[in-house]
Amino acid sequence: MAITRDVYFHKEEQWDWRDSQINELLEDKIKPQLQDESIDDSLIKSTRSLEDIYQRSSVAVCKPEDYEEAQQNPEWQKAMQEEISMIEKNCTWELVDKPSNKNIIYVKWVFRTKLNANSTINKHKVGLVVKGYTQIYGIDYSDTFSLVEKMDTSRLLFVIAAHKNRKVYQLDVKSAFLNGILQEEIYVEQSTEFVIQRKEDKVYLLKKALYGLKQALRAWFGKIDDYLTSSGFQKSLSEATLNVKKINNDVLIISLYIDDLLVTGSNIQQVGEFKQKMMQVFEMTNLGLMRFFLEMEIVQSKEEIFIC
Amino acid sequence: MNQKDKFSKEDRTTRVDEEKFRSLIGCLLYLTAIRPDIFNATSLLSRFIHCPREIHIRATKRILRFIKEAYNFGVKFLKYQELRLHGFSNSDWGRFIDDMKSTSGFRFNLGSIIFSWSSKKQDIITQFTVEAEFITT
Repeated sequence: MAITRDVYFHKEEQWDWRDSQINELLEDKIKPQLQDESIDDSLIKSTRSLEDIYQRSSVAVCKPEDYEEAQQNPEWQKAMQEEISMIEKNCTWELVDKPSNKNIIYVKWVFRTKLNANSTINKHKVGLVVKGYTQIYGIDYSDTFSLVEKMDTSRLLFVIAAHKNRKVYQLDVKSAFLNGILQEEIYVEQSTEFVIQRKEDKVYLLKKALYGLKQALRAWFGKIDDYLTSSGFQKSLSEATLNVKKINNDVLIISLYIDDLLVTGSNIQQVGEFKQKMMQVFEMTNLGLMRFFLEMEIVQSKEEIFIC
Repeated sequence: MNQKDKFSKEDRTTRVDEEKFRSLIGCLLYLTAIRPDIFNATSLLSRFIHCPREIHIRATKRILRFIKEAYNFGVKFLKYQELRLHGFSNSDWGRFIDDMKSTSGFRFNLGSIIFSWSSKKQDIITQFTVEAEFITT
């Protein structure tokens, strides 16, 4: 038997389109495809931006990169306005003429989302920061160190609180660093997005610290430390962030972790009074019973504190 | 951590990704603020962040598995009859085979509640077990 590969063309003959058998075959094969396409078409009702989809899904894009991106989101915009008004309210700066022989520091917006313990969004945080790396040692700043608390100390506080059946309360200072008073003369430029009209050439002279300044932490700590000392607190000798006040037979213990205050005391009334007083002096959020401190989850019940 | 494991910088197993190992150890070290149970193992493994080998990452994963099992563990502060300060310390002797230095550790209790703990490699080489213990205290 021989197999050929020759192809013969039937030039005269044509495809019989009317042949019902072939049409049926065609219908079976092609029609489903056509139908599928039509379904696809009807599904797309509108388009959404990727950001929108991210927000609906569990992997949220939590922070915008720069000002332009943030401006589109009303939440961020509101937060930025708040930040500016906060700075104004604190009398942090003053508009002055540009000095010729001074180092002027530039500012930048920073965005961050604060999460709860169960990783839902707590609040949108916006900060106006200065670019501290342009500061020069000896001119714009001198000392930068500040004190933070050892974990052992706060744990010891928990031990004593649990033993004496006291509760630990937490206060959080809003924009803590904006409270610190500066010793040095520092000029910053106006934020490009919030320039005051007809005063474009002027710069701000800082009276209080801004985030990003090298001495901001120290300025803040000095301020709160002064306040606590002036209101009758005694510092612990071995841990300067631990402050104790004795009123009659009751004690009030304050532990300071930068801008988080842990308050506990033998007299609940006094704790309340102290919290009230602090909230008048500084802009603060009262977080009530301590639940979430330095990324630790804390459960407080009767004669018992559990951290995990 | 397997007690019999001896870790060394010049381990013969293959090298692993430094960056991942570093961030993993960093996370664990932060966790030690509330978990004394993994402190020793983590601080031992943190000595290899510049030269991680497979044996190190395997030990680290073992810690992770432990955490997964003991997810709900934490430190509980309870009311206790008497608040008495107890301190415990101990050291091994020349366990770290690269430089034969000892590791010392301590914990402090008030009553039965732990509130301070540490595990650290000593600065000098000790020749006697007694010396190692002495430095710890």
